[in-house]
Amino acid sequence: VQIAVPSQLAIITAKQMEARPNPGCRTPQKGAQQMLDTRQYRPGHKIKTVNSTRGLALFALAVSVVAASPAFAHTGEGMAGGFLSGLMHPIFGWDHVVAMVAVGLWGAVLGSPAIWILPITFPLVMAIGAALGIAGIPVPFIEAGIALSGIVLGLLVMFLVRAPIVVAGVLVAFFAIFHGYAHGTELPDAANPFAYAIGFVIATGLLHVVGIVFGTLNGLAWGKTAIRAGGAAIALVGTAFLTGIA
Amino acid sequence: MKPANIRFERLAARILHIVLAGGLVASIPLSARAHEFGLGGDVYDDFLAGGAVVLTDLPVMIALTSTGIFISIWDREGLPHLWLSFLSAVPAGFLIAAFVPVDPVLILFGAAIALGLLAVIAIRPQKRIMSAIVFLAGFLTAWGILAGHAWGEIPLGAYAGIFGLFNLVLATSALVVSTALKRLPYGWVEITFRALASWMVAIAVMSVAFLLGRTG
Repeated sequence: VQIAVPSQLAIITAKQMEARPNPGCRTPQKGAQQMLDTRQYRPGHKIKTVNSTRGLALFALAVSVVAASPAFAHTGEGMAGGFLSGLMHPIFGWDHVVAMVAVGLWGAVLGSPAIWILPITFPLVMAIGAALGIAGIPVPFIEAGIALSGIVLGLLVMFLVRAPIVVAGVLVAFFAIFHGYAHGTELPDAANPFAYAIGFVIATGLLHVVGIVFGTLNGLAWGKTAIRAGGAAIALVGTAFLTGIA
Repeated sequence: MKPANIRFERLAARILHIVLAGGLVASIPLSARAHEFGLGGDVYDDFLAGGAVVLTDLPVMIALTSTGIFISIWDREGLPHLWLSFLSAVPAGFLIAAFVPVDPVLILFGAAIALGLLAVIAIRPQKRIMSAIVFLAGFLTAWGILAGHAWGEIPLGAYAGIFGLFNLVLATSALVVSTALKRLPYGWVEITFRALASWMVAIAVMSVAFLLGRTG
């Protein structure tokens, strides 16, 4: 029997969708209907000013319903949904965001060649970590490793530590395993895994770019202070995740 | 020869061995995961169907794009010198695909990851080694894309479509990189393309892990 790879994926996806409801929304149809309801409007209709407490409460409720919509909870189907799901995945996890920004930032602080070696190393090793997660190979202390990555990288940036490139590369690669593993275990939930992988890697790369751009402040008089403050903030976020505050 | 060049030569030879070993491993018939061709029309429809398979196949696109990046980083005018090697490799790949069964997932993703890594590392080997790498790129991708299809099962138009799109993707990729490197003579331009290649490798690794994890 010859099966095309894309068709095979479509079958898997369809089965997944049938077998298990969306993890982020227990009743996706209802949630989608709520979204539609809240977005209904009539053109040309005057908007009344809300003065009463009841009006404010209704407004807050409407905002909360829109904000808690299932759009960010891996609901995507097909290529576009899988891509968006992958793109948003690292961005909606603060522990991942700070570590990925820190990689770019530390690379910029270290200068060439670290400025490009670190952001190349991280996604490559992260993909290997994701593969371990998908394969179900146990790796201990994943969450602690992710939180520690924020603390360690944040402190390295805060103190402007000039580590040798080999040490920096190994350290970044070590932490990338944890981040990749965490996402790898969630990868099969995506509608289209190819699109998910593309979106995920692009998001990771863009977060590195944000760190690199922030790191270019190093050349300015007040830039070092800003970078140190950024490093401290990253370390604080990591600490919050490690201690369970976040 | 300088010590650095000797080191590069050894590294390139090792990579070649790895690619060859990967090809042998992938040639173990695991399962029939051949590509589907939407055939049934005239020659032009067959041509389009063949081309569409190339454009919609992620590892093939990664392998060919990475090869283009690698060639232009190696030498901005490198493609014309190496194209003959690629042109001869693709029909050879078509031919072997008909007689040696292979798991397309393994061989295509293996080629994509190996070629992507070559673009990331951006070694500068001698021309004959470079020709061999480009030959392998065309050979393995052609072998993988037609794996599971017997000789004559696919009409000539589809072969032409695959052959044409293989060359178009390779040439476009090499031309974009070559033009960028010529017009923007800054160090970060080459680094940007190498970073892009690393992203493609990461995507390929994640995708193949998912596929193998799901289908076994």
